[in-house]
Amino acid sequence: MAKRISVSRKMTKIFRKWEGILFFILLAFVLEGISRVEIVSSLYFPPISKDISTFLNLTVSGILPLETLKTFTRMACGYVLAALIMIPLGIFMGISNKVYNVFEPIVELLRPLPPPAIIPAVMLFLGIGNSMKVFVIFFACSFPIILNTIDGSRSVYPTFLHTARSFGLNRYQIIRRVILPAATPQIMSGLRTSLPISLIVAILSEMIGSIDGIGHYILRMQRTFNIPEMYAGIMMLGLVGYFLNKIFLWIDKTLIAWHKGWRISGI
Amino acid sequence: MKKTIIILTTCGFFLLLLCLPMPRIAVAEKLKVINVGYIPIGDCLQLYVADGMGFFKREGISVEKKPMQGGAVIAPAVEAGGIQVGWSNAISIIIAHSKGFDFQFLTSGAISEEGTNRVHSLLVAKDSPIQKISDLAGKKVAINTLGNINELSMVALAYKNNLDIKKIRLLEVPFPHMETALKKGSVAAILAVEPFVTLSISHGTARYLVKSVHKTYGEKFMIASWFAKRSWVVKNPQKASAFVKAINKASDFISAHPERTTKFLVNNTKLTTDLIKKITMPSFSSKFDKSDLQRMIDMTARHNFIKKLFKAEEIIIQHIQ
Amino acid sequence: MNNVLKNIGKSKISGFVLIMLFLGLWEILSRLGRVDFHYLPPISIIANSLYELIGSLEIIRHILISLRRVVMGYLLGASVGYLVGFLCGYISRIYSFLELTLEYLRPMPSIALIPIGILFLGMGDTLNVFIIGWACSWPVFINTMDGVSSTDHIFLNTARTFGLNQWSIVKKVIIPSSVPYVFTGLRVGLGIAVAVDVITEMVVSSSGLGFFIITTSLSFRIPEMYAGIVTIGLFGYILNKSFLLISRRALRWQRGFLSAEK
Repeated sequence: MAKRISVSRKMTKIFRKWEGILFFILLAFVLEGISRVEIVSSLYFPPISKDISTFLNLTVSGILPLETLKTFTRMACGYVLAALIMIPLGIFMGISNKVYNVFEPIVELLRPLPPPAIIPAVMLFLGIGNSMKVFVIFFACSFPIILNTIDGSRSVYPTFLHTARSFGLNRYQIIRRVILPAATPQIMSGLRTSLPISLIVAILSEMIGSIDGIGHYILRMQRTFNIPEMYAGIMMLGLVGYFLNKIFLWIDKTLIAWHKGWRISGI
Repeated sequence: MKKTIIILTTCGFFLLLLCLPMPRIAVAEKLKVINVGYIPIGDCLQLYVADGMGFFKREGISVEKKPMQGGAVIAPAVEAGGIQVGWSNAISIIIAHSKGFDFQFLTSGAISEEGTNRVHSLLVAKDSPIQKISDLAGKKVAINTLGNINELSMVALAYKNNLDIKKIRLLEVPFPHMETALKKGSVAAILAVEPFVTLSISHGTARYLVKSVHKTYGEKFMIASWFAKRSWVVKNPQKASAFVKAINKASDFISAHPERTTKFLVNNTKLTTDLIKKITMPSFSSKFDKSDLQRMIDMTARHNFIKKLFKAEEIIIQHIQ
Repeated sequence: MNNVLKNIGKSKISGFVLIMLFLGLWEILSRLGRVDFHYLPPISIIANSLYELIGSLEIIRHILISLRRVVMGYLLGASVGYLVGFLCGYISRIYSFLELTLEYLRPMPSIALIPIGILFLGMGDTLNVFIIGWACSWPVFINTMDGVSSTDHIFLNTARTFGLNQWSIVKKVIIPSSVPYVFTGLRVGLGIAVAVDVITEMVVSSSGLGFFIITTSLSFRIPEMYAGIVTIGLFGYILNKSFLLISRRALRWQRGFLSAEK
């Protein structure tokens, strides 16, 4: 009896997985059709098959992966910088009202500023090189990270804090053993939110004054009317985002799986 | 109860927003309206004059001016039909044609002539050690957009000076940011257009490396002009020819009364009157000289921007061939 | 003296003081010519140009146009995101069907979709609204799906024990318990809507705040450019605060129930 159930469950799982792929393929066919029938000009919307073949060519020849790597490097720098600075800052803001009160107005003031809006101003100071891009990425990623970190640090159960204090732990130990673990899901949530932001901002900053990177590549292809190549670049972008997300989820699962157990409201 | 009031007020607010003045989306086919995409720079003077002097009205058409960032946005818009006529530099249209797009130039546009009408210059920082083109090897040069006349000019310049273009790294920088880029050392040289050439030099930031970049194209050539899809021209012959007539009238006006064009520039480009006095403007003509364009096509092919040479007639509408 | 310092630390004044000091420094450095006057004008000049822009109604027009686009795009994106998210959370079968496609589409930056959008939608407001809608639908979708699918089983079972039909369960259990998640998603979506609106306007539009910054920087009206950036910041700030106000009223009953919503 038990064996039969597990077999049918396995089958359902396989079915589900293939359903998703089926849908994806169906969608691809529809798009191919739209282009071939010329509902929109096939010059600007080539058949998917053409885009895919161009994509494969460019990947094999190494052009796309190279550009992607360059973008990724910048992204990683800005992202890591934001994490390294904002997580500690956020923890301090979360546990100390004084620190919070000092920085909160600044954060609230700068937060609504969309990253593209600051690019012209940042360019005046940092030019158009890598430092400008990394700074803009850093700026954009900072906010989700710091806000979530503050939230996480603040919502530690008071009981834990009291217990820790009554055990005589000093401030540093409290942070390390109580607050940090408790705030981790929120911090991870913030890190997860900033990931696509860092990608988008990296692309955006590459479209202004860059000589490499996948954003620049897409732009260049558009300028020179190499439309299938442009779409190939866009596809690469989608893939990068997809894999980054998957990797992040994996890290999330393996490193902090223990957390979901005893927190009532998970992520 | 309170909740309901809040919901109702917010809905009312949104409805009010929707009633705000709608952007005028003219249905071009029903009325005699043409949407024209342009870049708010001095080069599009013909449009400003034709509009401001009422030439379009006199030809029986109404023109909706749509300022846009550049050719890269204008071309897809023309392709999709959102705008019927657009302004583009010659090279982009040449490349587009080689890729199968059926764009055609409607009129003669901004012409660069030996003597007073050279508008593009290559500048370096005032204290830069760079003295000649070959010094640019391994350095970054800023051009406004890729795949256009400025990129081709750099390629041609490099070629002439026996420098492999691959050694120069071309960077896309909008014109107004070029001066800062130069100052910060992000780029070693900038290929700028007016008024930015005059501005950078007068600020003391830059000096000329090559005063007239486009010399390589010959005595006279067409920088940019008004284009449309061939299929649109075929379907709307009256509108197309009305547009052409009005623009040609404007070209004649500009040639005859250059001093009277200042106010049109001020109104349409946010250039100030003082700046206008200092900058160099291209020349305009109501006669389309095919060789002005053919030279560009030849250059484009020679430097491998396009694979095959073709005749200028392919991208000029019948009317004016 | 110690007391005063303690009190400063207690309220938010210290933060404001810091900001004031920074602004003062900016003004002084700029006027003294330490920072290039052309590229970083003193605050007073920026403030002055902002004042003039408001007076001439120039910037008001752009604000209203951007507001229109943001609101319409946001409503579009939020409703679609909510609906799809709800469906996916409620019927997990649907999600497993769509998962691959959605996960691949989600990281696509809206800016990359602009050339495609121009083809289908032309150059007008419709383009802006759709791109904004696309971008802000994702956080709403994810959070709604999260909220619906993590409805506490205890509640669901209790409701079933009480004999409620499916529709009542949805109305009385699922929707209310997913509200905090949904509101987080709505809030994030709003921020994204504003950012994407600015981006699209910078690239394709001929009006709106994004266009305004580009145009002023292109014609060297640098103080106006900064004034525009400040306006965008204020714009986003006011929208966000209004949203918080509305959500606070709507969620009043929630706050006692769950841990503090920010």
